[in-house]
Amino acid sequence: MDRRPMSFSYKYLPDVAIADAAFAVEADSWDELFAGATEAMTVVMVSLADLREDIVRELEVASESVDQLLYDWLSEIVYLKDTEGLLVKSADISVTAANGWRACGTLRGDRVDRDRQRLGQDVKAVTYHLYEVSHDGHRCHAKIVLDI
Amino acid sequence: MDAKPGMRVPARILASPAIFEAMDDGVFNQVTNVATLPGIQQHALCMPDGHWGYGFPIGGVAAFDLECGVISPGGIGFDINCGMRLLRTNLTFDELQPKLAKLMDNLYSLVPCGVGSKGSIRLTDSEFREMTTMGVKWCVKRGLGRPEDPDHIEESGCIPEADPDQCSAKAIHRGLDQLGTLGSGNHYLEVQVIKPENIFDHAVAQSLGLVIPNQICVMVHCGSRGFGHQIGTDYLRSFAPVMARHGIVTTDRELACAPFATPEGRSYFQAMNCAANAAFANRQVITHRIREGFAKTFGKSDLEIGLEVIYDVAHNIAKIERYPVGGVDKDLLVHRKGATRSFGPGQKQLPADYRDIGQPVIVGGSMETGSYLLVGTQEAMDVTFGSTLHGSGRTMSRTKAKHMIRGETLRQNLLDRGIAIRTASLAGLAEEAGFAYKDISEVVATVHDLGISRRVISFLPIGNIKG
Repeated sequence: MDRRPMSFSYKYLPDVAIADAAFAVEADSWDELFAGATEAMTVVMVSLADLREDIVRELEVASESVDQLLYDWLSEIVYLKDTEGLLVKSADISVTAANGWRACGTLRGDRVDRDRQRLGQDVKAVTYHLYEVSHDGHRCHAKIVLDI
Repeated sequence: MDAKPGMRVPARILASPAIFEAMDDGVFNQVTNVATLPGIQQHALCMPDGHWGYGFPIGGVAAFDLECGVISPGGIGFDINCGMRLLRTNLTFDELQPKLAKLMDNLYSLVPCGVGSKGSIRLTDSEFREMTTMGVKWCVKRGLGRPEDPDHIEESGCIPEADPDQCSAKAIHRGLDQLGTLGSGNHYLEVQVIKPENIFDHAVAQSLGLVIPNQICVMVHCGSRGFGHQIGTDYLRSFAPVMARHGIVTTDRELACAPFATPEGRSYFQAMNCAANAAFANRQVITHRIREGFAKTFGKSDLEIGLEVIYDVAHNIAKIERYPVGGVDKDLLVHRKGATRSFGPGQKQLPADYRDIGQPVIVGGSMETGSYLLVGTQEAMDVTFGSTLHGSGRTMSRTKAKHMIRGETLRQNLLDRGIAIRTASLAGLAEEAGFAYKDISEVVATVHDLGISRRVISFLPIGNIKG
């Protein structure tokens, strides 16, 4: 898959989950929203600048709704972190809605290496706490709390 | 306060006036949400270290009828059997201090921690499944513990009705090489000293083998790692259609639940018990590595150093326990999320040598302010379904904490105070600064004054490993 320029923004929400990590992300499209949420979650775990893009991996996730799809997508990224040691630096994602919702993407990232990476907190799980995924007619939005 | 629509029982928050005033609104909202769940008995509780969680508040305790009640992953947490283990040594501070830096280096190399850390033991799928049914006994069989270690662990480190067939392949795969790892967040391994002035109950301290002035102990806080986290994720997701089928409506998706007396409810219980056993085994493997680290540092065997388990207890779990309800003894499913069992003297579930003093309750504090050991009481059996606090409780978000101090500054400040830190994440260290937590002494004083557990000892940190 060719790499496309991504346009998304996210900010961390310090007062939403005092023991954990929360962020809000927005983008022009679902593709970009998913990429932005993936990056925001990675930044909780590691400094993005310290990650290489040596590892390239395909990922496909299907779910019954777009909000469940984002939950499942991020949960899969957490799973890959624990089982393959993969920290995702960038993700080129295509989100489609035909016979259910589907996200297909190319993940580029690095293995965990605490000798050359500034690590943050390990993400245990994506939660449904205050979980929101929406489209306001112009932009896509999500609010996500991660269990730390 | 007025009752929330749908509340089946009252909600009770145990706190001093000052702690109550400082609690965030989320606690009140969440503990009253818990009170709406089907089959809840007597009251929904929150301990004084409570704060906003997911579904249940942290510090939440609730008991459910086995026939008409529910089981909720949100009442247990993703980190199933996150818990505490306390070890004693026969070393004194003066004996240890000259070798503290070397000891911390050795422990840091032996106990992996931080993002994506892997343990030194790689299990096959079948070995992992066996471990989840045997818990600490599996470790002892593999030479990763002493035969007497299970004697001083809740449920002897092996909870029955654990069925790995109820755990997804993903959950098992996620846990395969994480045995013996700390994780990150607020998990830690801490070397501590007991100052003579910090012993509040000498008779109980003596019963626990804590008799040497300035004695060194080791405390471990961690849980079931990715295996438990995946079980929580899997079942939280799968319970939505179960709730719809049974007409259960909750105000919070994190309160997803299933009737306990259904195949789905029982399946989660059996998977959760696997994760609980894996967490006991995880703390056991870490204990084995701690023994190796002390032996290497001091050139003596761990037996000579007297590294023995005082106790190990869960604070994220659901268990079937028996309590009087309306004058009749009844088996209940007690959920504890950030709350510790606090069984009083005489309970048959306690080790024989602790039956006169009550169950040890290990309360972790911040790496700056220290931790506590308490014992359970009859009042806890009468009032809180045999439960008490689990820690000091956060008051400040992680983001705010790391904006207030840099990790390197905090590490140097602690070193200047004689506390050696080893960490996989300086940012993570800053997030765990002492000012981000409530005053542990005030929180402990609250449960002591309420009588739901009794203060025995406080520990001062001298070395801390944080993921």
